[in-house]
Amino acid sequence: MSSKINLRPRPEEDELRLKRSELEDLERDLVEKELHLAGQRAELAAFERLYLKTVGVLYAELDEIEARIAELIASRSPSNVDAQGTARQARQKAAESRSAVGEAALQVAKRFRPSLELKNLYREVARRIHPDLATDEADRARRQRFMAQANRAYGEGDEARLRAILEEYESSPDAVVGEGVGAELVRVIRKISQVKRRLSEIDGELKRFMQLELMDLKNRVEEGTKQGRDVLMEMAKAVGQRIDEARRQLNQFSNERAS
Amino acid sequence: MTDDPEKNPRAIVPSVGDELTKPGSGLIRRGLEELASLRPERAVPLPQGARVLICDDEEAIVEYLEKLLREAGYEVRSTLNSLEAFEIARQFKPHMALLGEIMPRMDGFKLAEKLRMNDPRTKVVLTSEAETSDLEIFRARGWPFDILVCPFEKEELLEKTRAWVREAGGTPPC
Repeated sequence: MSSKINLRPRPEEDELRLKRSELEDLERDLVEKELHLAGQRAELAAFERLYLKTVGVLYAELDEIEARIAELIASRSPSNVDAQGTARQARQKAAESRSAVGEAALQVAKRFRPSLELKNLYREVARRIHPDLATDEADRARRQRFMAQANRAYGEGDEARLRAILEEYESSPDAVVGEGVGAELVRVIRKISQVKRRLSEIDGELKRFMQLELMDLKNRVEEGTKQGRDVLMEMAKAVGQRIDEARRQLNQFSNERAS
Repeated sequence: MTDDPEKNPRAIVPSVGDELTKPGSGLIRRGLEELASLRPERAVPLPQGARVLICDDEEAIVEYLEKLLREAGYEVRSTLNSLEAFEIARQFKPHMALLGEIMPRMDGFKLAEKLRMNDPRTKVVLTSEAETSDLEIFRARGWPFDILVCPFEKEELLEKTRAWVREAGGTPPC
């Protein structure tokens, strides 16, 4: 006869089991939502780069020509306050447009198309590192740093970097957590609360994305693609025509001035 | 907003809206306007039918217009909420949108612009008590929508609606 006594689980152990199960479900949900959010963010960023490279640079060129025209007109009538003001505004607009497209023009415009491996790796990273699974504030801050790096790596499609971040996080001594049913129960309950809060934040962030003008533009360009159109190229062509017209005007003004 | 967790603890990653639209927001807005004025190189018509969206904050007006157009054979959706109208339009893809001029939340002009930006194929019409001279100003500004001056007769509305829906590629009932 065995001397082992089968004790019924204590209430806190039952509760811990239930809470762990709830947390697992929430964590799965969280990982998927973080993946979706990161994907949306990266797609928007990629679209903006593409847009600025295709159409934005043309607006910058147009604004530059229009600023020169306005400056030429202003230089002819130094006492005309309106003309001076218009020239200043045109120059400022040109500077703003140039600055907006400046960085984008240097970046490679490519669409964000994460591979299945990259997505799975990101899921793993989110599952292990997510800040809302932290046990205390120091842990949270550490996780946030790792997660920010991971999101950036995901957006850039850098699988090797994502893997390195995960390995670096896992090998950190801070990843070790304490024992004890009571303490563990409190930790799990706090995690559940943090995860729920983050889920609600993600929903808010996704809603905010939907209201962005950039998202609006992206949706319409994609809608056009479905209809067999290349909307960005159509836009580029339309702005290109205005550039030609502005350039003709500039030449005309310059010639008049020369003669 | 910063993406530095030290400075902004809730920012796990850069917030895309702030990051992407700060410097280039003017260019994004211009892109949307450009798009609204584009003539599609390969225009695809709206799905067949004769769909009309009505939006006005005055319930009696909406009910009257809806009944009139429905009885005339149009497929009609209506709302008293201009924000909701935009969402309906995305799904419903109306050939024509008939909007009140003054509405809370988003007035008819703003909604008209948004609807046209959303789908330039939709014919947008504002009901307005504006004088003819004001209409000339609207047109001179190149606003991409028509005005239906109030008060209007039932027959006038039906006749114009037929023309507008046809213009948008719809097939109005006889």
